[in-house]
Amino acid sequence: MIKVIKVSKRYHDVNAVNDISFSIPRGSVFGFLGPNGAGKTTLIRILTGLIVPDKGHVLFDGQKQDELNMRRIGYLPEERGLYKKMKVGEQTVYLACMKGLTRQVAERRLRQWFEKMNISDWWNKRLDSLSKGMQQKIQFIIATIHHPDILILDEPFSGLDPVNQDILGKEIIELNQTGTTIILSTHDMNSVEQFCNQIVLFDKGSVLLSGKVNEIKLARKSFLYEFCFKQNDELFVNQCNQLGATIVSTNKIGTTFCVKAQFRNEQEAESVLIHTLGQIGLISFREILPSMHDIFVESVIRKSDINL
Amino acid sequence: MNELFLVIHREYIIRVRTISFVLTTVLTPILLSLVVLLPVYFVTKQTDYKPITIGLIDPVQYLKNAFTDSEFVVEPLKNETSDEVKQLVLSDKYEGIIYLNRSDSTFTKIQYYFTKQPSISLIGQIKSAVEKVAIKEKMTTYGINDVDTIINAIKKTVDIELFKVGDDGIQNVGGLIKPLLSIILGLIIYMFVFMFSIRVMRGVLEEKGGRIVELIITSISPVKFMTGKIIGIAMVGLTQIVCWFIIFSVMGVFLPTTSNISSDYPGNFIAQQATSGNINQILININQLDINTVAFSFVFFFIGGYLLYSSIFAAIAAAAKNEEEVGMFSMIITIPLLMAIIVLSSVIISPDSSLSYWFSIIPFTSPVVMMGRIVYGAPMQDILLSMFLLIVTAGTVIWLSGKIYKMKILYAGKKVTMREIISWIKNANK
Repeated sequence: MIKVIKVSKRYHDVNAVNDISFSIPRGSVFGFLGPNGAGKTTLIRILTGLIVPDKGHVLFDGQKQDELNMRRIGYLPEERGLYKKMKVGEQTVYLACMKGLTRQVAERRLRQWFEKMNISDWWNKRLDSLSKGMQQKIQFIIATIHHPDILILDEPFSGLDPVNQDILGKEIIELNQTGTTIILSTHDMNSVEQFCNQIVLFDKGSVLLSGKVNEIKLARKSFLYEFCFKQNDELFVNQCNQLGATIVSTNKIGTTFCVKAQFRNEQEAESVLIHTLGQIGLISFREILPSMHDIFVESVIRKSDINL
Repeated sequence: MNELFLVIHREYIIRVRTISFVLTTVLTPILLSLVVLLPVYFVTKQTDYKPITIGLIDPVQYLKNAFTDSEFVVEPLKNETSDEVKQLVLSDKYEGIIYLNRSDSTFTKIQYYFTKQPSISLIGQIKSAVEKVAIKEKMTTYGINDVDTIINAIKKTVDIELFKVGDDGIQNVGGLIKPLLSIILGLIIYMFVFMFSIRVMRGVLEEKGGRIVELIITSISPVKFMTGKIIGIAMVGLTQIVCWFIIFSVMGVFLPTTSNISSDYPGNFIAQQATSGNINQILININQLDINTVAFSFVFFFIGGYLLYSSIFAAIAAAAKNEEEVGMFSMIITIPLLMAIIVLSSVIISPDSSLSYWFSIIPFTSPVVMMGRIVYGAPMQDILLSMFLLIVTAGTVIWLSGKIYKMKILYAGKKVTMREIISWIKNANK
């Protein structure tokens, strides 16, 4: 369990991080969300010990950050960088050894990783001959090579093509399943939906929102449902109108009619279904929860409005 | 594996295996040696060397004995007509022809006819020989006889022997070797400190440009990393020095010494100058030096100066916004080193003056200036104080540079203000 307790960090007259507190459960995939300049990178640097907070502290299983063995942490920084003129294999062995592995163990594990990521041919290539995406894969391997308890990934998917995004995503899930706590800082809300079970949303150094992804979504549900029918949806639409529900959209996909309707509460949706169930040939219905994208935009804009 | 060792190993190995390292290590001594030895080497191989022959037209034979000690052969000629002189010069039999017109009663002018432009040295030798005869003739007209003896007596120089009186007795400290050694050792320290510090700076700039620093310093403390980098690059430098030493030694075995050079060669004056008497004097002067103190101090101030300056250069590279700023700050930091070189020249004049003393104590100039003073036998308390201050300053600067290096990652691409640097220093213990 990582506890961030009343942490503040100020640069000149800007509060990069302002008195924030939250917890990251062990074994979770925890998302750091926020617009540019929200304080995500500052907080990551505090977690990795690169900078010291002006106030507050971070506890790793009750242990203060400065007492922590940094080898427990794996880190993929946002600003990627490796020695451009070194060969890939030699460089990765060097960086793995810096994380406390012996040369033999480092080389064995790296060979396995290279094979797994299908990049064995790159071992003897100079880094500057590789594309940005390829270099990113190498950096990901370096971040995880020493089997850290906590893996901090700052924008891990930026610059990767969909195929490599899938490869990396699969590895993230695998690492999490083996017990690694993963902190994922990203602007990509699809990644958040796909990987994160908990998040914290910052803006201008303060926490706007934090908690489990499902709970956050449920708390913001707007009783929006989607119904799909075999027959014409006219009867259903009329019934909705009578009950005062709002029809958001109607679509015909092939022979299927789909209606999105927003109700005031769950009972209204239930009532419409009961009244029309035998007559409309219902194929499916589902509740549409707000996406993380919507929650992100709404939260940030709402805070801006309040500040105005 | 120890991280410090890993950093040292990487910094060392990536540099020594580059083509540029191999080329500079091998070619520098070869090229330097060629510059010095090639002319000498060619002379030794020049078996068909013959002294040049110059014709002399001197109807009254005033210059009959003027050229007996010259490095060229002078052949007296008859009083030829100007057309005949022209033919003789063009015939290539003579390098040139000296013509003395005795109608010139003041004897202030001679003429030299040639086809190939004579060297300044040849003209100087002819002029000097003729002047000698002229002086002799004039002195004789004033009634002074035995002119040669008088001239030899006048030419004798006075040697001054210097004796330093100390608690341990009186010591002869004269000779040219001390100022020479003082300058050479000071310059070597200056040159290598500057050269290797620039390498450290380039290394930091590479990491900064490559954005790898954020990854590195989550694995190793910045101070340790900086130390590893500095040691690694110092070892590269030392390797280069050792290689140069070996190459110079090997070349010394195979290349000719001055003793092999034909004694007819006019430029053989170096060998001629190094008479056994001079060599003995040099050896005596070297023996008077406290070799152990000089050798230990040289290594100490070399390493101390390098550590101090390389860490400053590293901090500059870490904190500066761009390469232009790096260049500007480097120039400022180089000023103390340049001042040290300037003061070194006054150390030769007065090794114990206030100027020499203070510049040999201040750590930013002491590696160069104290080295110059030590050759002259600086007091042990001065040497120890200088060493102590250098250790303390170098240690503090390395520690501080490590902190700045760590802090800089937040400021990549941004201008760093003095206020920020002071704030880093204040927070350095956190």
